[in-house]
Amino acid sequence: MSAFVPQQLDWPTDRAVLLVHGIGNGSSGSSAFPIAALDTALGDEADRIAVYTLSTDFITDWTTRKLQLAAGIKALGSAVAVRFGKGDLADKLAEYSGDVLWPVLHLDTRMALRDAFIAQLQQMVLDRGRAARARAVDPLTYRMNIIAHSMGCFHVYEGLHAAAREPSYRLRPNSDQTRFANVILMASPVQLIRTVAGDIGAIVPASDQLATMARSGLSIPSEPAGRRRITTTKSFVSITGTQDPVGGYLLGERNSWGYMDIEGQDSTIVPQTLIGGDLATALGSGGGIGDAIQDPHSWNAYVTTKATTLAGLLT
Amino acid sequence: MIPIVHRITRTLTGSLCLLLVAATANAQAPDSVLQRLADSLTVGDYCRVTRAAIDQPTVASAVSEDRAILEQALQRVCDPRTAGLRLRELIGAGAPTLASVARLRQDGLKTVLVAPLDSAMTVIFRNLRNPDLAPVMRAALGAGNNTTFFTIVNVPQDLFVQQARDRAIERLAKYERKLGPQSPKLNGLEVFLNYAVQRWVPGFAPSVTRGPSSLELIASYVPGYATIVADRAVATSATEFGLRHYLFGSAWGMTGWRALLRPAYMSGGLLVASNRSNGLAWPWDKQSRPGVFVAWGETKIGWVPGRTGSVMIARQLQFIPFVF
Repeated sequence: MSAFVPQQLDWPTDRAVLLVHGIGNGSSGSSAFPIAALDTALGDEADRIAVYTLSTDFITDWTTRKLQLAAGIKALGSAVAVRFGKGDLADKLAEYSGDVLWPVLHLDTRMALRDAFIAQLQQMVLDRGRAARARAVDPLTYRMNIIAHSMGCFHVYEGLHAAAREPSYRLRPNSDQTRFANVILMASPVQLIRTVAGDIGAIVPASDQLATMARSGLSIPSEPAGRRRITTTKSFVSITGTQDPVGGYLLGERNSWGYMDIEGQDSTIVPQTLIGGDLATALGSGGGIGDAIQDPHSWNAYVTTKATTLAGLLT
Repeated sequence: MIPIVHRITRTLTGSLCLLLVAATANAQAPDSVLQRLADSLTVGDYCRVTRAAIDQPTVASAVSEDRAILEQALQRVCDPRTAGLRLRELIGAGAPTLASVARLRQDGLKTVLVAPLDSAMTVIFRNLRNPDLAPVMRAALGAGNNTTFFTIVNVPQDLFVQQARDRAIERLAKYERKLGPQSPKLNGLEVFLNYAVQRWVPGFAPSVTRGPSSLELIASYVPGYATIVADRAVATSATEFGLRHYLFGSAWGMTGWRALLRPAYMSGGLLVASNRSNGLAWPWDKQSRPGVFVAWGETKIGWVPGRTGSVMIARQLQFIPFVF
């Protein structure tokens, strides 16, 4: 049996949200998820929503150990840095790029990550059915939501595209009626990966199986239904900050090679400053400039900043 | 037609409510209600509620474009030979009922009849559980019958999802065996070779439905062999080229002493070793000899004919990360 068991929850009411972890927060476990910030954002409604969390660190840990690729990732990151050429920030961006690239390059890892995500979605669908059955309510009236951050957005994007086209997953939006009320991607690196993977396309295995590299461009996952296409989600939301390189911004400037701009997506740009709070106070209290620098990629900060938006979408 | 439908749906609604109340009161295992419904409801029940729904004029009118496809699917699920089949049997679980055995005397016939039910039920689910149709269904069937309808029609769908989830977890278990903490690490050359064969050689790439390939290439310098030379145990080294085959079954991949009986993998291939016995002896000198090796889990045995100390043994171990 696998070490991975999809999280199973009792739905307190008719809503649930799956939080999908990515890179950037640098840790795994429950502390990596913005649970407290989400609770604050949802207020009294927080207790009425089942909150799932999915972190796929354990799979990337397998591969890191098996292939001992740490050195390779660093080298790749350095190679990518040439593209961005903006000093220290470019180095940081290159590190992120390296982190997000290797699930693209290793087939077994890519498929294992997908299976973990798919198994969690399937469990969510089953939990929904169980909750609705117990109340003699139609489960299709219950609402499932996904919030992903950073690399988690890539897993969600790829996973939902796979779910929409692969019959054996039983998660297609039309044939299996699996649709999400909201898919919210925060600081999505999907376009960044598309750009970089496109540059190194020759070494990407089975690139035709990556929705991120689709020749037709990025799209909201969907399944054909006659002349129409039924999308996986009614609301595909992108939230990114003006100083977040993973989301496609560098020093306040949007870059087409990094910013995910999909037809039909609802885009929100969060104004950010790298230096936050009172710099004088930070310095005066014996701290350094570092104490005043904000992390533009923080998941917690995104949830806190967009609390009203999230509450509106999820409640 | 309608009174019959009412009678069936009333009976089913009553049974379902009893089941639901009992299940809720006892706080049973998570999917117990689904399993009990799957055990108690038959394909015949599914046929009846679906037929009753589609025969409603407003529903028939709403699905007019897909009516032909729906009728085809209904013909399949309303085959009298499968009417007694419990819904749970659709996924090959549970013992067959007497009724289903009476109708489906041969396993071959059962397979032929049950397999199309999956796709027929998918067609029905897709068309009749469409959210756009939900208000029409509710108005046409009435609240109670509508609840019975979606409860019954959802059972096979949830069983299929459950089965799909179990398959995903099984695939992950295979990936864990191949990539996880108990698996052998790859050196730089093996990383490159396995990347290449996954891309260009059939049988090495992972599959969406089956999971990882059980095969992995071995191209390794192994300084950890031991042999007997002049009645003394000495270390020696060799180069291995071969294939590792992962044993993905749930009975395999044991740890500790049980790994001797039920390891996670076995391997075999060609071996090249120098006739000189030395822990770091270069295997490709003028005294090199070819042989073979087989491994059962971490335990390896090599045989190099004509070599002084022709039988060699070793444990799977990586001495220098990323190198050998």
